[in-house]
Amino acid sequence: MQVNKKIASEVMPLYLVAAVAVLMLGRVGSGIYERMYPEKFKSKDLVEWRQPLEGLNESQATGKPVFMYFSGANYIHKDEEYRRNYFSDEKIAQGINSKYIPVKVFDAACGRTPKDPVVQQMQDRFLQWYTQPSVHVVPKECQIIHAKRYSLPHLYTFSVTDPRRNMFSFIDSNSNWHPVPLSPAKEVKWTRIDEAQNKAKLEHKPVLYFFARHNDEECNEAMNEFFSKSKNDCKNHRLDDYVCCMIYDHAPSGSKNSQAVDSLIQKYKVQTYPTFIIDKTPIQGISDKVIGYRGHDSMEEFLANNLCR
Amino acid sequence: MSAKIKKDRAINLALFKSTLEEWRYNPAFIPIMAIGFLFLIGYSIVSVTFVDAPIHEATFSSVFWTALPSVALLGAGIIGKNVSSGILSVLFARPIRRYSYVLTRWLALSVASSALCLILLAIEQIAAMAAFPGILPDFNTLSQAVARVSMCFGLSATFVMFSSIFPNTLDLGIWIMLSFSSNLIVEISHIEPYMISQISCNDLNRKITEFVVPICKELAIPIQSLVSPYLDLAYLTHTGSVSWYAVFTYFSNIGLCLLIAIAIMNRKEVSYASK
Repeated sequence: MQVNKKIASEVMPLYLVAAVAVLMLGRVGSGIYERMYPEKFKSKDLVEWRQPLEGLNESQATGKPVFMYFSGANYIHKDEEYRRNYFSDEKIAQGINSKYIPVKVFDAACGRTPKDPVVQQMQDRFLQWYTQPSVHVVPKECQIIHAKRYSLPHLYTFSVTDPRRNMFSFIDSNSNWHPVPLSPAKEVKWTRIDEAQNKAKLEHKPVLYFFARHNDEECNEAMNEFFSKSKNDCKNHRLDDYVCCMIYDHAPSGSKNSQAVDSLIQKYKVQTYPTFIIDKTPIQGISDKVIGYRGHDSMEEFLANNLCR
Repeated sequence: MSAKIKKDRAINLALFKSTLEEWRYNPAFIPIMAIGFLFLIGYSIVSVTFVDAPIHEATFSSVFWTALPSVALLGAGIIGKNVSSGILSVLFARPIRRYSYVLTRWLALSVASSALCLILLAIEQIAAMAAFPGILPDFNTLSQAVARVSMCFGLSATFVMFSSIFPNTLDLGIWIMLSFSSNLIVEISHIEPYMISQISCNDLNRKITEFVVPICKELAIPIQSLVSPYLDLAYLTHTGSVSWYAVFTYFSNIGLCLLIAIAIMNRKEVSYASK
């Protein structure tokens, strides 16, 4: 009797065994199939990435900031994670495509072979903290090096909130972002280097060149001091009487400058930063009508004499 | 003749109800659950109310952090406690098949924890809609609901399996250990072959790494689907073609966990004579 009872209660449900066997077969089969055709099962990337240089040019033409995504061969798994969680999401991709010029910088070399020079250039200019993958928003005034860095939230299992939320916040809050030196000085209309001289002739104004060095505290201070709105109100600067042009020298950080920047640096013999140059040649037609502060005298005195009412 | 089992049902309704009653009358359950959920709801409301940018959709807590507390609180020792306390000896004196006991306990745990997660989801959605009237339930809400329910069912199966093996609430401890191990395995699995020479300081180290990394690569998905199994609708549809491997892995894991639990329970000696 005891034996019968045991047989009656301790059975294995055959339908469950059969179902699990079928599921396991399906698992093995689909696993083999997905390994054979991995491309079919890669998440769609809905972001319209541009090549780095093409994206920067487009940014200058359209005035949109650049959403620069750095990745590399060392970060393939992270890349796939971000594609799956962010870039394949319609809302996120739409936000990036409409508000930014998306640029993907993919470092395929990762220390093994010589790097693509364009990738090297982008990394030198924008990737200040060497942690990939990361996103940098490069403001529309592209000659300004200051880019805002953003590490994509890691998709750890232990994250308390949905990481997509952080991405939305990032897309919205940075689309109108300006670099720190520019944010208080929105009334200053910075002119592109190649347009400055022509604009000055047309508007009959001298050109005010502001030469700065990347990540230089003195330059940033000078920028805030002389181009910020609140301080201008007090000091009565006459910035509207000038065609303002800002030039960043990338050479000190080991990067190459554009030809236009190099020629201006040579022309005005810029050696220290910050340097202010007021070039009156476009209005007076005399080549030596260039006065400047080159770091030797008092910057305040120079600006008070030349820039203030 | 009393041993003859008349009703051959996989799910025993009386046992299902009694399992739910067991939680309802547990004095520790409601206060702990209330504190945990109030924290998550508070966090959710704060995160949609004090934001620096317009929101596009309701902000939800992570799937993992809503499903895990529910399942862990209800399911720790779901079978092990009965074994340790001797209730099983009494229970199996009645005409109940052991697999029916396992499946019923699993279903009760899954349903109860899913209900808690869906209530939390509804509150989060309502909070978002109250703060921003334009926010309506959308695909993301559905995806969250599916993910939470699937994680509750999957985690419940894992807990039932561990609980059938280990006594009392040791299943929770084992799950926590496994969870940390899985994170470690996943991190190791991310090491690319050409990186091995960079991180290895000598030949032995390199050989060990070369041996361990491929194993971790193979183990990463199965162990993750055991520790935190869920169906991500967004992921399943993002690729354009449905990943059947993810679907089969999820369901086969649940089935396998339950089969193991049943096999162990069938072999367990629970009569008074065994005491």
